[in-house]
Amino acid sequence: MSPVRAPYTDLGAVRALIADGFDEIVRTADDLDQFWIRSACGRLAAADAVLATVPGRRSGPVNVLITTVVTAGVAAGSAALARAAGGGLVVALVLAALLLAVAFQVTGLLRRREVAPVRPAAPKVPGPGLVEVPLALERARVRLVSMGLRRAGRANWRVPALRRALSGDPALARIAEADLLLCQAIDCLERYLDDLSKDWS
Amino acid sequence: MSRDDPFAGGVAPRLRRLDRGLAEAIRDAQCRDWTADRPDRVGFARLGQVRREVLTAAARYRVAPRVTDGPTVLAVAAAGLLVALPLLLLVPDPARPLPLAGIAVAAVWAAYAIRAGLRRLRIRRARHAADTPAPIDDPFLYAVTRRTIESCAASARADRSYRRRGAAADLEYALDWLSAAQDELPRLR
Repeated sequence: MSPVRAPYTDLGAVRALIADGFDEIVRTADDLDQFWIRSACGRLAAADAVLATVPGRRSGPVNVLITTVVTAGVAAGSAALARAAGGGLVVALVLAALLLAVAFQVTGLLRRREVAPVRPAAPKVPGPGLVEVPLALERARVRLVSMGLRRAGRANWRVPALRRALSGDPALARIAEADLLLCQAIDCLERYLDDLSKDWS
Repeated sequence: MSRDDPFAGGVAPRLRRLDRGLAEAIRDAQCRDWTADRPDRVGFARLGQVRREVLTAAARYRVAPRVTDGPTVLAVAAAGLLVALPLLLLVPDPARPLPLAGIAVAAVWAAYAIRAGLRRLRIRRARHAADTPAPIDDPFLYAVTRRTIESCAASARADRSYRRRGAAADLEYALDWLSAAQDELPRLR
């Protein structure tokens, strides 16, 4: 991977822009239960939740450290247990494998960290109706893409390398997933506005 | 029985294969959009909706999403074979607590190192790879996807269990999104 690290202030800025756009939708939409609007809100909330779980700068070393400590503890403990029970190396290995699987399930190292999506509270009075896709969402997407490209590094800006980088780097994969959800939300809103314009004509 | 036969195998493996192909096409189109090689943020978003519905249908068949990727599996296998096994054979009496802990930690670090190396190697090799045409532009992708989804929906509709019959509705949504992705009809501006 490139030495360029994603600046995590950017992440906060993108999340703030998404929150702005979300807020604008909730304030101006006349019917939040309309299919396209509801879909867009769901995608936006999901995108925000994905961005909340982008692994930070220190999460890699911390993960290695936790895995090391847990592995050492479990291996030593299972060896001691097998010795006390009078078993040999095979018993110790089987015990260690079982305990490791349980320990990693409990500590959640093998699971994906999930954050429940949150939505802003709907206002009492319905708004005047959506007339355009909130500009904040488009700006959020631009910043998100530039953040991802910076994270991937200049050497990987050709398509085959970028594809590999997206699947190889967990942080970049999360950014791509959030970008996909954001694009889906914008697309849903555009389809809603398109339906509206057809009704009026 | 060829690999592309939409009627090959049960519904669950067909859905899994479909999901893999769609994920590849989406990722490729997204990369092309990011690098402005083929700027289109609508097409891959709609294919993403197709994939989402297909995943919902697959969840009704209890198809679990994959938790590991290729380099991880390869790195763990290599670390086990190249580091843990020789150490277990070479160290005298490895069943004592301290040596066993040491061997386990060495294997874990080796697995991390091999995985990082593999990923870097794959990216480095891809830097000089020739660019292939985008799968999202391939009309055959849409035809195959549509046929697979239709045949899966037909099997799901005839299923005995309620839960799996619900997959047919999800797959119909997937078909809607697929035609929206192919035609890109309602686009603003």
